[in-house]
Amino acid sequence: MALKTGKDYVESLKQLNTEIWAFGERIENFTENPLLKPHINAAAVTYDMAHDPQFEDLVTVTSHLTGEKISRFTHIHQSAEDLVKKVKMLRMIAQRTGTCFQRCVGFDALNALYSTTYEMDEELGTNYHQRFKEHLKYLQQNDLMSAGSMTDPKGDRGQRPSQQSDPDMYVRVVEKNDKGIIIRGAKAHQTGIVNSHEMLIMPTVALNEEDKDYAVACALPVDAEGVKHIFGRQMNDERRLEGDIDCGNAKYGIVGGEALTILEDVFVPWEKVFMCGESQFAGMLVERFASYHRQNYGGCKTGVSDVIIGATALAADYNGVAKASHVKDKVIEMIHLAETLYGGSIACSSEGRPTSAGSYFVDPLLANVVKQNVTRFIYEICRLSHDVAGGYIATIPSEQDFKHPEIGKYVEKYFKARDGVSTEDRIRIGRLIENMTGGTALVESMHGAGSPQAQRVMLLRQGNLKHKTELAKNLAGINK
Amino acid sequence: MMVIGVKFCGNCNPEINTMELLSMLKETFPHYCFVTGSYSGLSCLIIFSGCQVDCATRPQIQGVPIISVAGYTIDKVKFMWEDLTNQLVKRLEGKNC
Repeated sequence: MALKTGKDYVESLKQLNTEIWAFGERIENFTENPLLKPHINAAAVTYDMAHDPQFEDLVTVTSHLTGEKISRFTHIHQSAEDLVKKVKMLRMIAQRTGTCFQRCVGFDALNALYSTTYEMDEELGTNYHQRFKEHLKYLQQNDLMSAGSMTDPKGDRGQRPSQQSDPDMYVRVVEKNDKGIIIRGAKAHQTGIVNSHEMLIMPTVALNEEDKDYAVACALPVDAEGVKHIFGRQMNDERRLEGDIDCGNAKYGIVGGEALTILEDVFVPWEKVFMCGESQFAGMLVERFASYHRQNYGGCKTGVSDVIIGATALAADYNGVAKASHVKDKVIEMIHLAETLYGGSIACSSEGRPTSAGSYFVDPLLANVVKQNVTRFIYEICRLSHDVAGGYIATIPSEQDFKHPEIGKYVEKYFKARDGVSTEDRIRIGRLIENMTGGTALVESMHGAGSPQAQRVMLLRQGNLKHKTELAKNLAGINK
Repeated sequence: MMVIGVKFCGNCNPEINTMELLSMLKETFPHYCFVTGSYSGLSCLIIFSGCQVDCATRPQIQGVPIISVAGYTIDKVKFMWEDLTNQLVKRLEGKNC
Protein backbone atom coordinates (compact mmCIF):
# COMPACT_ATOMS: atom_id res chain seq x y z
CA MET A 1 0.00 0.00 0.00
CA ALA A 2 1.27 3.52 -0.83
CA LEU A 3 2.60 5.86 1.85
CA LYS A 4 -0.08 8.18 3.18
CA THR A 5 -0.04 11.91 2.63
CA GLY A 6 -0.90 14.26 5.49
CA LYS A 7 -4.41 14.54 4.06
CA ASP A 8 -4.74 10.73 3.89
CA TYR A 9 -3.61 10.54 7.50
CA VAL A 10 -6.25 13.01 8.68
CA GLU A 11 -8.92 11.21 6.68
CA SER A 12 -7.84 7.90 8.23
CA LEU A 13 -8.27 9.39 11.73
CA LYS A 14 -11.86 10.31 10.83
CA GLN A 15 -12.59 6.62 10.26
CA LEU A 16 -11.81 5.87 13.90
CA ASN A 17 -14.22 6.06 16.80
CA THR A 18 -11.67 7.36 19.30
CA GLU A 19 -13.20 8.38 22.64
CA ILE A 20 -11.52 11.62 23.67
CA TRP A 21 -12.53 13.83 26.60
CA ALA A 22 -11.46 17.41 27.28
CA PHE A 23 -12.90 20.20 29.44
CA GLY A 24 -15.64 17.92 30.69
CA GLU A 25 -16.96 16.95 27.28
CA ARG A 26 -16.54 14.12 24.85
CA ILE A 27 -14.97 15.58 21.70
CA GLU A 28 -16.82 14.95 18.47
CA ASN A 29 -15.09 15.43 15.08
CA PHE A 30 -11.76 15.55 16.87
CA THR A 31 -9.74 16.18 13.72
CA GLU A 32 -11.36 19.64 13.53
CA ASN A 33 -11.19 20.48 17.23
CA PRO A 34 -8.91 23.51 17.80
CA LEU A 35 -7.45 21.94 20.95
CA LEU A 36 -6.17 18.92 19.04
CA LYS A 37 -5.66 20.28 15.54
CA PRO A 38 -2.11 21.63 16.07
CA HIS A 39 -0.89 18.20 17.20
CA ILE A 40 -2.60 16.55 14.25
CA ASN A 41 -0.96 19.09 11.95
CA ALA A 42 2.46 18.27 13.41
CA ALA A 43 1.98 14.53 12.93
CA ALA A 44 0.68 15.15 9.40
CA VAL A 45 4.01 16.76 8.52
CA THR A 46 5.72 13.39 9.05
CA TYR A 47 3.39 11.95 6.42
CA ASP A 48 3.71 14.76 3.88
CA MET A 49 7.50 14.79 4.06
CA ALA A 50 7.62 11.21 2.78
CA HIS A 51 6.46 12.60 -0.57
CA ASP A 52 8.88 15.52 -0.72
CA PRO A 53 12.20 14.72 -2.43
CA GLN A 54 13.91 17.25 -0.15
CA PHE A 55 13.20 15.10 2.90
CA GLU A 56 12.41 11.56 1.76
CA ASP A 57 16.00 10.34 2.19
CA LEU A 58 15.52 10.76 5.92
CA VAL A 59 11.79 10.12 6.29
CA THR A 60 11.55 6.97 4.16
CA VAL A 61 13.51 3.74 4.05
CA THR A 62 13.26 0.20 2.64
CA SER A 63 11.57 -2.33 4.94
CA HIS A 64 13.82 -5.25 5.82
CA LEU A 65 10.65 -7.38 6.07
CA THR A 66 8.96 -6.61 2.77
CA GLY A 67 11.47 -4.72 0.62
CA GLU A 68 8.85 -1.97 0.21
CA LYS A 69 9.40 1.75 0.76
CA ILE A 70 8.05 2.64 4.20
CA SER A 71 8.00 5.50 6.66
CA ARG A 72 11.14 5.48 8.80
CA PHE A 73 8.78 5.74 11.79
CA THR A 74 7.76 2.11 11.20
CA HIS A 75 11.31 0.88 10.50
CA ILE A 76 13.52 -1.46 12.51
CA HIS A 77 17.07 -0.07 12.54
CA GLN A 78 19.36 -2.26 10.43
CA SER A 79 22.64 -0.35 10.88
CA ALA A 80 24.36 2.40 12.82
CA GLU A 81 23.65 4.57 9.77
CA ASP A 82 19.93 3.99 10.35
CA LEU A 83 20.35 5.18 13.94
CA VAL A 84 22.17 8.32 12.76
CA LYS A 85 19.54 9.03 10.11
CA LYS A 86 16.83 8.73 12.75
CA VAL A 87 18.45 11.55 14.75
CA LYS A 88 18.87 13.70 11.64
CA MET A 89 15.26 13.08 10.67
CA LEU A 90 14.02 14.14 14.10
CA ARG A 91 16.09 17.32 14.03
CA MET A 92 14.90 18.14 10.54
CA ILE A 93 11.22 17.70 11.32
CA ALA A 94 11.52 19.58 14.64
CA GLN A 95 13.04 22.57 12.83
CA ARG A 96 9.94 22.74 10.65
CA THR A 97 7.27 22.11 13.28
CA GLY A 98 8.96 23.76 16.28
CA THR A 99 7.43 21.10 18.49
CA CYS A 100 6.98 17.39 19.14
CA PHE A 101 5.45 15.45 16.23
CA GLN A 102 4.74 12.40 18.38
CA ARG A 103 5.61 9.41 16.18
CA CYS A 104 8.96 8.61 17.76
CA VAL A 105 7.49 6.97 20.88
CA GLY A 106 5.82 4.25 18.84
CA PHE A 107 8.93 4.02 16.65
CA ASP A 108 11.06 3.28 19.71
CA ALA A 109 8.53 0.82 21.11
CA LEU A 110 8.63 -1.14 17.85
CA ASN A 111 12.41 -1.37 17.95
CA ALA A 112 12.52 -2.33 21.64
CA LEU A 113 9.90 -5.04 21.17
CA TYR A 114 11.56 -6.39 18.04
CA SER A 115 14.75 -7.41 19.83
CA THR A 116 13.12 -8.25 23.19
CA THR A 117 10.57 -10.65 21.68
CA TYR A 118 13.39 -12.31 19.74
CA GLU A 119 15.39 -12.90 22.89
CA MET A 120 12.32 -14.05 24.82
CA ASP A 121 11.64 -16.68 22.18
CA GLU A 122 15.28 -17.80 22.17
CA GLU A 123 15.29 -18.35 25.93
CA LEU A 124 11.72 -19.44 26.60
CA GLY A 125 10.63 -21.11 23.37
CA THR A 126 7.70 -18.70 22.96
CA ASN A 127 6.42 -17.40 19.62
CA TYR A 128 6.21 -13.70 20.29
CA HIS A 129 8.72 -12.52 17.69
CA GLN A 130 6.90 -13.92 14.67
CA ARG A 131 3.62 -12.55 16.00
CA PHE A 132 5.24 -9.17 16.47
CA LYS A 133 6.68 -9.17 12.94
CA GLU A 134 3.19 -9.75 11.55
CA HIS A 135 1.93 -6.74 13.51
CA LEU A 136 4.92 -4.71 12.31
CA LYS A 137 4.17 -5.60 8.68
CA TYR A 138 0.58 -4.48 9.24
CA LEU A 139 1.78 -1.09 10.55
CA GLN A 140 4.32 -0.68 7.73
CA GLN A 141 2.00 -1.66 4.91
CA ASN A 142 -0.81 0.58 6.17
CA ASP A 143 1.53 3.40 7.22
CA LEU A 144 -0.07 3.65 10.64
CA MET A 145 0.88 5.82 13.58
CA SER A 146 1.43 3.83 16.74
CA ALA A 147 1.63 5.45 20.18
CA GLY A 148 4.25 3.98 22.50
CA SER A 149 2.33 3.28 25.72
CA MET A 150 4.77 2.68 28.54
CA THR A 151 4.19 5.00 31.48
CA ASP A 152 1.79 3.74 34.13
CA PRO A 153 0.25 6.15 36.69
CA LYS A 154 2.37 4.26 39.29
CA GLY A 155 0.49 5.33 42.44
CA ASP A 156 2.80 4.98 45.45
CA ARG A 157 6.25 5.14 43.90
CA GLY A 158 7.67 3.42 46.96
CA GLN A 159 5.71 0.23 46.28
CA ARG A 160 6.01 -2.38 43.54
CA PRO A 161 3.07 -2.88 41.14
CA SER A 162 1.78 -5.92 43.00
CA GLN A 163 2.06 -4.09 46.34
CA GLN A 164 -0.13 -1.11 45.38
CA SER A 165 -3.27 -0.61 47.47
CA ASP A 166 -5.03 0.04 44.14
CA PRO A 167 -3.96 -2.76 41.79
CA ASP A 168 -4.96 -0.66 38.75
CA MET A 169 -2.04 1.75 39.18
CA TYR A 170 -0.12 -0.35 36.66
CA VAL A 171 -1.69 -2.04 33.65
CA ARG A 172 -2.17 -5.76 34.22
CA VAL A 173 -3.75 -8.86 32.75
CA VAL A 174 -7.00 -9.62 34.60
CA GLU A 175 -8.13 -12.55 32.47
CA LYS A 176 -6.78 -14.96 29.89
CA ASN A 177 -8.86 -17.21 27.65
CA ASP A 178 -8.40 -19.16 24.45
CA LYS A 179 -9.03 -16.06 22.33
CA GLY A 180 -6.84 -13.54 24.11
CA ILE A 181 -6.33 -11.47 27.25
CA ILE A 182 -8.25 -8.78 29.11
CA ILE A 183 -6.21 -5.86 30.44
CA ARG A 184 -7.09 -3.22 32.99
CA GLY A 185 -5.41 -0.02 34.16
CA ALA A 186 -4.27 3.22 32.56
CA LYS A 187 -1.31 4.69 30.74
CA ALA A 188 -0.25 8.25 31.55
CA HIS A 189 1.42 11.06 29.56
CA GLN A 190 0.47 9.39 26.28
CA THR A 191 2.03 11.56 23.60
CA GLY A 192 0.03 11.77 20.39
CA ILE A 193 -2.29 8.94 21.33
CA VAL A 194 -5.49 10.83 20.52
CA ASN A 195 -4.32 11.25 16.92
CA SER A 196 -2.71 7.83 16.55
CA HIS A 197 -4.20 4.71 14.98
CA GLU A 198 -2.74 2.14 17.37
CA MET A 199 -1.14 1.88 20.78
CA LEU A 200 1.68 -0.44 21.80
CA ILE A 201 1.53 -1.28 25.50
CA MET A 202 4.66 -2.13 27.48
CA PRO A 203 5.51 -2.40 31.18
CA THR A 204 7.12 0.68 32.71
CA VAL A 205 9.44 -0.90 35.29
CA ALA A 206 11.50 -4.05 35.77
CA LEU A 207 9.30 -6.71 37.35
CA ASN A 208 9.72 -9.76 39.53
CA GLU A 209 7.74 -13.00 39.81
CA GLU A 210 5.09 -11.44 42.09
CA ASP A 211 4.44 -8.78 39.45
CA LYS A 212 3.96 -11.17 36.56
CA ASP A 213 0.37 -10.11 35.85
CA TYR A 214 1.87 -6.71 35.07
CA ALA A 215 4.35 -8.14 32.55
CA VAL A 216 2.22 -7.41 29.52
CA ALA A 217 3.06 -6.03 26.09
CA CYS A 218 0.43 -5.86 23.38
CA ALA A 219 -1.01 -3.83 20.53
CA LEU A 220 -4.52 -2.50 20.15
CA PRO A 221 -6.37 0.18 18.21
CA VAL A 222 -6.79 3.46 20.11
CA ASP A 223 -10.55 3.20 19.59
CA ALA A 224 -10.89 -0.35 20.94
CA GLU A 225 -13.83 -0.99 23.22
CA GLY A 226 -13.05 0.05 26.78
CA VAL A 227 -10.36 2.60 25.80
CA LYS A 228 -10.90 6.23 26.80
CA HIS A 229 -8.52 9.18 26.47
CA ILE A 230 -8.63 12.23 28.73
CA PHE A 231 -6.63 15.02 27.11
CA GLY A 232 -4.14 16.88 29.29
CA ARG A 233 -4.16 20.65 29.74
CA GLN A 234 -1.16 22.71 28.75
CA MET A 235 -0.14 26.26 29.53
CA ASN A 236 -2.03 28.71 27.32
CA ASP A 237 -4.17 25.99 25.72
CA GLU A 238 -7.24 28.22 25.77
CA ARG A 239 -5.42 30.57 23.39
CA ARG A 240 -6.03 27.98 20.65
CA LEU A 241 -9.73 28.73 20.97
CA GLU A 242 -9.16 32.49 20.61
CA GLY A 243 -6.94 33.25 17.65
CA ASP A 244 -3.56 32.98 16.03
CA ILE A 245 -0.87 35.42 17.18
CA ASP A 246 -1.09 34.71 20.92
CA CYS A 247 -0.50 30.96 20.33
CA GLY A 248 3.03 31.65 19.14
CA ASN A 249 3.20 28.47 17.07
CA ALA A 250 -0.44 28.41 15.99
CA LYS A 251 -0.08 25.72 13.32
CA TYR A 252 1.74 23.05 15.36
CA GLY A 253 1.22 23.94 19.03
CA ILE A 254 3.50 23.13 21.91
CA VAL A 255 4.79 19.64 22.86
CA GLY A 256 2.97 16.56 21.59
CA GLY A 257 -0.46 16.71 23.19
CA GLU A 258 -0.60 14.17 25.99
CA ALA A 259 -3.50 12.17 27.39
CA LEU A 260 -4.38 9.84 30.23
CA THR A 261 -5.57 6.64 28.53
CA ILE A 262 -7.96 4.45 30.49
CA LEU A 263 -8.11 0.73 29.75
CA GLU A 264 -11.32 -0.66 31.21
CA ASP A 265 -11.20 -4.42 30.75
CA VAL A 266 -9.98 -4.22 27.18
CA PHE A 267 -9.81 -7.39 25.11
CA VAL A 268 -6.61 -8.07 23.13
CA PRO A 269 -6.44 -11.12 20.82
CA TRP A 270 -3.45 -13.42 21.25
CA GLU A 271 -2.01 -12.47 17.86
CA LYS A 272 -1.44 -8.97 19.24
CA VAL A 273 0.12 -10.07 22.56
CA PHE A 274 3.91 -9.89 22.72
CA MET A 275 4.54 -10.50 26.42
CA CYS A 276 2.25 -12.10 28.98
CA GLY A 277 3.72 -12.98 32.36
CA GLU A 278 7.40 -13.19 31.37
CA SER A 279 8.37 -10.72 34.09
CA GLN A 280 12.08 -11.47 33.79
CA PHE A 281 12.11 -9.69 30.40
CA ALA A 282 10.24 -6.54 31.47
CA GLY A 283 13.46 -4.82 32.53
CA MET A 284 15.14 -5.50 29.19
CA LEU A 285 12.16 -4.08 27.30
CA VAL A 286 12.05 -0.97 29.47
CA GLU A 287 15.79 -0.38 29.19
CA ARG A 288 15.84 -0.81 25.42
CA PHE A 289 12.84 1.45 24.88
CA ALA A 290 14.25 4.07 27.24
CA SER A 291 17.64 4.08 25.51
CA TYR A 292 16.12 4.43 22.02
CA HIS A 293 13.88 7.21 23.31
CA ARG A 294 16.66 9.09 25.08
CA GLN A 295 18.69 8.91 21.87
CA ASN A 296 16.06 11.08 20.22
CA TYR A 297 16.33 14.17 22.34
CA GLY A 298 19.53 15.46 20.81
CA GLY A 299 17.65 15.32 17.52
CA CYS A 300 14.22 16.71 18.26
CA LYS A 301 15.18 19.09 21.07
CA THR A 302 18.08 20.41 19.04
CA GLY A 303 15.68 21.04 16.18
CA VAL A 304 13.33 22.89 18.51
CA SER A 305 16.30 24.77 19.97
CA ASP A 306 17.33 25.77 16.44
CA VAL A 307 13.98 27.55 16.18
CA ILE A 308 14.35 29.15 19.63
CA ILE A 309 17.85 30.35 18.74
CA GLY A 310 16.58 31.81 15.47
CA ALA A 311 13.70 33.50 17.27
CA THR A 312 16.06 34.89 19.91
CA ALA A 313 18.41 36.31 17.29
CA LEU A 314 15.43 37.90 15.54
CA ALA A 315 14.15 39.37 18.81
CA ALA A 316 17.55 40.91 19.42
CA ASP A 317 17.59 42.29 15.90
CA TYR A 318 14.06 43.70 16.18
CA ASN A 319 15.00 45.31 19.53
CA GLY A 320 18.05 46.90 17.90
CA VAL A 321 20.62 45.10 20.08
CA ALA A 322 21.85 42.34 17.79
CA LYS A 323 25.37 43.76 17.66
CA ALA A 324 25.85 44.01 21.44
CA SER A 325 28.68 41.69 22.41
CA HIS A 326 26.85 40.17 25.39
CA VAL A 327 23.86 39.40 23.18
CA LYS A 328 26.08 37.68 20.61
CA ASP A 329 27.74 35.73 23.38
CA LYS A 330 24.42 34.49 24.72
CA VAL A 331 23.38 33.33 21.26
CA ILE A 332 26.75 31.60 20.92
CA GLU A 333 26.12 29.81 24.21
CA MET A 334 22.69 28.69 23.01
CA ILE A 335 24.25 27.26 19.85
CA HIS A 336 26.94 25.55 21.91
CA LEU A 337 24.39 23.88 24.15
CA ALA A 338 22.14 22.81 21.28
CA GLU A 339 24.96 21.31 19.23
CA THR A 340 26.31 19.51 22.31
CA LEU A 341 22.96 17.77 22.59
CA TYR A 342 23.06 16.91 18.90
CA GLY A 343 26.61 15.63 19.22
CA GLY A 344 25.52 13.28 21.98
CA SER A 345 22.71 11.81 19.90
CA ILE A 346 24.99 11.33 16.93
CA ALA A 347 27.55 9.68 19.19
CA CYS A 348 25.16 7.18 20.77
CA SER A 349 23.87 6.36 17.29
CA SER A 350 27.30 5.99 15.68
CA GLU A 351 28.30 3.66 18.51
CA GLY A 352 25.21 1.54 17.86
CA ARG A 353 25.64 -2.21 17.76
CA PRO A 354 23.61 -5.21 16.50
CA THR A 355 21.35 -7.21 18.78
CA SER A 356 20.98 -10.96 18.44
CA ALA A 357 17.78 -10.24 16.49
CA GLY A 358 19.87 -8.39 13.90
CA SER A 359 18.40 -4.98 14.63
CA TYR A 360 20.64 -2.16 15.81
CA PHE A 361 20.63 -0.71 19.31
CA VAL A 362 22.14 2.58 20.49
CA ASP A 363 24.94 2.92 23.01
CA PRO A 364 22.85 3.15 26.19
CA LEU A 365 25.41 5.07 28.24
CA LEU A 366 25.69 7.86 25.66
CA ALA A 367 21.93 7.87 25.10
CA ASN A 368 21.40 8.47 28.81
CA VAL A 369 24.04 11.21 28.75
CA VAL A 370 22.05 12.94 26.01
CA LYS A 371 18.83 12.93 27.99
CA GLN A 372 20.52 13.95 31.20
CA ASN A 373 21.99 16.94 29.37
CA VAL A 374 18.58 17.81 27.91
CA THR A 375 17.11 18.04 31.42
CA ARG A 376 19.51 20.94 32.06
CA PHE A 377 20.49 22.49 28.75
CA ILE A 378 16.96 23.23 27.52
CA TYR A 379 16.30 25.22 30.68
CA GLU A 380 19.48 27.21 30.07
CA ILE A 381 18.69 27.72 26.38
CA CYS A 382 15.25 29.01 27.35
CA ARG A 383 16.70 31.19 30.10
CA LEU A 384 19.13 32.79 27.66
CA SER A 385 16.31 33.33 25.20
CA HIS A 386 14.30 35.15 27.86
CA ASP A 387 17.37 37.20 28.79
CA VAL A 388 17.99 38.35 25.22
CA ALA A 389 14.38 38.82 24.11
CA GLY A 390 13.49 40.95 27.09
CA GLY A 391 10.57 41.23 29.47
CA TYR A 392 8.09 42.31 26.82
CA ILE A 393 7.44 38.66 25.95
CA ALA A 394 5.65 38.31 29.29
CA THR A 395 3.49 41.44 29.00
CA ILE A 396 2.26 41.68 25.40
CA PRO A 397 -1.44 42.59 25.25
CA SER A 398 -3.81 40.14 23.61
CA GLU A 399 -4.34 39.81 19.88
CA GLN A 400 -7.83 41.22 20.42
CA ASP A 401 -6.34 44.38 21.96
CA PHE A 402 -3.74 44.64 19.21
CA LYS A 403 -6.46 44.50 16.56
CA HIS A 404 -8.97 46.66 18.45
CA PRO A 405 -10.20 49.68 16.45
CA GLU A 406 -9.85 52.05 19.41
CA ILE A 407 -6.91 50.92 21.51
CA GLY A 408 -4.96 48.88 18.99
CA LYS A 409 -3.09 51.97 17.91
CA TYR A 410 -1.47 52.23 21.37
CA VAL A 411 -0.21 48.66 21.18
CA GLU A 412 1.03 49.36 17.67
CA LYS A 413 2.86 52.50 18.82
CA TYR A 414 4.34 51.42 22.13
CA PHE A 415 5.36 47.86 21.26
CA LYS A 416 7.32 48.96 18.24
CA ALA A 417 11.08 48.63 18.55
CA ARG A 418 13.50 49.57 15.78
CA ASP A 419 12.53 51.13 12.46
CA GLY A 420 12.04 48.74 9.60
CA VAL A 421 10.37 46.09 11.76
CA SER A 422 6.62 46.02 12.17
CA THR A 423 5.09 45.84 15.62
CA GLU A 424 3.18 42.75 14.56
CA ASP A 425 6.41 40.93 13.65
CA ARG A 426 7.92 41.85 17.01
CA ILE A 427 4.83 40.62 18.81
CA ARG A 428 4.77 37.41 16.79
CA ILE A 429 8.38 36.55 17.56
CA GLY A 430 7.84 37.42 21.22
CA ARG A 431 4.83 35.10 21.38
CA LEU A 432 6.79 32.31 19.69
CA ILE A 433 9.51 32.58 22.34
CA GLU A 434 6.99 32.88 25.17
CA ASN A 435 5.13 29.73 24.15
CA MET A 436 8.11 27.60 23.10
CA THR A 437 10.04 28.30 26.32
CA GLY A 438 7.14 28.08 28.74
CA GLY A 439 6.25 25.65 31.49
CA THR A 440 4.79 22.75 29.53
CA ALA A 441 7.72 22.66 27.10
CA LEU A 442 10.25 22.79 29.93
CA VAL A 443 8.58 19.99 31.93
CA GLU A 444 8.50 17.82 28.82
CA SER A 445 12.24 18.31 28.41
CA MET A 446 12.75 17.39 32.05
CA HIS A 447 10.63 14.24 32.19
CA GLY A 448 10.04 13.04 28.63
CA ALA A 449 11.84 9.70 28.05
CA GLY A 450 12.48 9.39 31.74
CA SER A 451 13.13 11.66 34.68
CA PRO A 452 16.69 12.79 35.49
CA GLN A 453 17.25 10.24 38.24
CA ALA A 454 16.42 7.41 35.84
CA GLN A 455 19.32 8.47 33.64
CA ARG A 456 21.66 8.79 36.63
CA VAL A 457 20.91 5.20 37.61
CA MET A 458 21.90 4.14 34.10
CA LEU A 459 25.02 6.34 34.07
CA LEU A 460 26.32 4.55 37.15
CA ARG A 461 25.29 1.14 35.87
CA GLN A 462 26.90 1.68 32.46
CA GLY A 463 29.76 3.90 33.59
CA ASN A 464 32.32 1.09 33.98
CA LEU A 465 33.53 2.37 37.35
CA LYS A 466 35.55 -0.76 38.07
CA HIS A 467 37.69 -0.18 35.00
CA LYS A 468 38.16 3.44 35.94
CA THR A 469 39.36 2.52 39.45
CA GLU A 470 41.87 0.08 37.94
CA LEU A 471 43.21 2.83 35.68
CA ALA A 472 43.72 5.10 38.69
CA LYS A 473 45.35 2.36 40.76
CA ASN A 474 47.70 1.54 37.95
CA LEU A 475 48.92 5.09 37.51
CA ALA A 476 49.10 5.70 41.26
CA GLY A 477 51.26 2.59 41.69
CA ILE A 478 48.82 0.99 44.09
CA ASN A 479 49.43 -2.75 44.49
CA LYS A 480 46.55 -5.02 43.49
CA MET B 1 16.21 15.63 -24.18
CA MET B 2 18.83 15.37 -21.45
CA VAL B 3 17.43 13.75 -18.29
CA ILE B 4 19.16 14.91 -15.12
CA GLY B 5 18.49 12.93 -11.94
CA VAL B 6 18.33 14.84 -8.65
CA LYS B 7 18.80 13.28 -5.22
CA PHE B 8 18.63 15.20 -1.96
CA CYS B 9 19.93 14.37 1.46
CA GLY B 10 17.24 14.87 4.10
CA ASN B 11 18.09 18.52 4.73
CA CYS B 12 18.33 18.05 8.49
CA ASN B 13 20.37 21.22 9.02
CA PRO B 14 21.33 22.63 5.63
CA GLU B 15 24.03 25.28 5.14
CA ILE B 16 22.82 25.96 1.61
CA ASN B 17 19.42 26.17 -0.02
CA THR B 18 19.48 23.13 -2.29
CA MET B 19 16.01 23.84 -3.68
CA GLU B 20 17.22 27.29 -4.74
CA LEU B 21 20.14 25.67 -6.55
CA LEU B 22 17.82 23.30 -8.34
CA SER B 23 15.51 26.15 -9.35
CA MET B 24 18.52 28.04 -10.72
CA LEU B 25 19.57 25.02 -12.79
CA LYS B 26 16.06 24.58 -14.16
CA GLU B 27 16.06 28.22 -15.29
CA THR B 28 19.53 27.94 -16.80
CA PHE B 29 18.81 24.68 -18.59
CA PRO B 30 15.16 24.88 -19.68
CA HIS B 31 15.81 22.22 -22.31
CA TYR B 32 16.88 19.66 -19.67
CA CYS B 33 14.45 17.45 -17.77
CA PHE B 34 15.19 17.28 -14.03
CA VAL B 35 13.69 14.25 -12.28
CA THR B 36 13.61 13.01 -8.70
CA GLY B 37 12.96 9.49 -7.45
CA SER B 38 13.89 7.79 -10.73
CA TYR B 39 17.36 6.56 -11.67
CA SER B 40 16.97 4.90 -15.05
CA GLY B 41 17.81 6.57 -18.36
CA LEU B 42 19.76 9.41 -16.72
CA SER B 43 22.33 11.52 -18.54
CA CYS B 44 23.71 12.72 -15.23
CA LEU B 45 22.89 12.61 -11.49
CA ILE B 46 23.24 15.55 -9.13
CA ILE B 47 23.36 14.71 -5.44
CA PHE B 48 22.47 17.68 -3.25
CA SER B 49 23.57 17.40 0.37
CA GLY B 50 22.84 20.39 2.60
CA CYS B 51 26.24 20.24 4.30
CA GLN B 52 29.69 18.69 3.92
CA VAL B 53 28.74 15.59 5.89
CA ASP B 54 27.24 14.63 2.51
CA CYS B 55 25.10 11.84 3.97
CA ALA B 56 22.60 11.54 1.10
CA THR B 57 22.03 7.86 0.34
CA ARG B 58 23.67 7.01 -2.95
CA PRO B 59 21.43 5.13 -5.39
CA GLN B 60 22.95 1.98 -6.84
CA ILE B 61 23.54 3.02 -10.46
CA GLN B 62 26.39 2.38 -12.89
CA GLY B 63 27.85 4.41 -15.71
CA VAL B 64 26.09 7.70 -14.92
CA PRO B 65 28.24 10.80 -14.30
CA ILE B 66 27.60 12.18 -10.81
CA ILE B 67 27.99 15.74 -9.56
CA SER B 68 28.10 15.88 -5.77
CA VAL B 69 27.08 19.15 -4.12
CA ALA B 70 27.68 19.06 -0.36
CA GLY B 71 27.29 22.36 1.47
CA TYR B 72 29.56 24.92 -0.11
CA THR B 73 31.48 22.26 -2.06
CA ILE B 74 31.15 20.63 -5.43
CA ASP B 75 32.92 17.29 -5.71
CA LYS B 76 34.76 18.21 -2.50
CA VAL B 77 36.07 21.57 -3.78
CA LYS B 78 34.96 24.59 -1.74
CA PHE B 79 33.34 27.69 -3.27
CA MET B 80 31.54 30.85 -2.14
CA TRP B 81 27.80 30.85 -2.91
CA GLU B 82 28.07 32.95 -6.09
CA ASP B 83 30.90 30.79 -7.42
CA LEU B 84 29.00 27.65 -6.35
CA THR B 85 26.13 28.43 -8.70
CA ASN B 86 28.45 29.31 -11.61
CA GLN B 87 30.58 26.23 -11.04
CA LEU B 88 27.53 24.01 -10.88
CA VAL B 89 26.41 25.27 -14.27
CA LYS B 90 29.89 24.68 -15.70
CA ARG B 91 30.04 21.17 -14.23
CA LEU B 92 26.66 20.30 -15.69
CA GLU B 93 27.77 21.54 -19.10
CA GLY B 94 31.14 19.83 -18.78
CA LYS B 95 29.73 16.41 -17.89
CA ASN B 96 28.59 16.13 -21.50
CA CYS B 97 25.10 15.57 -20.27
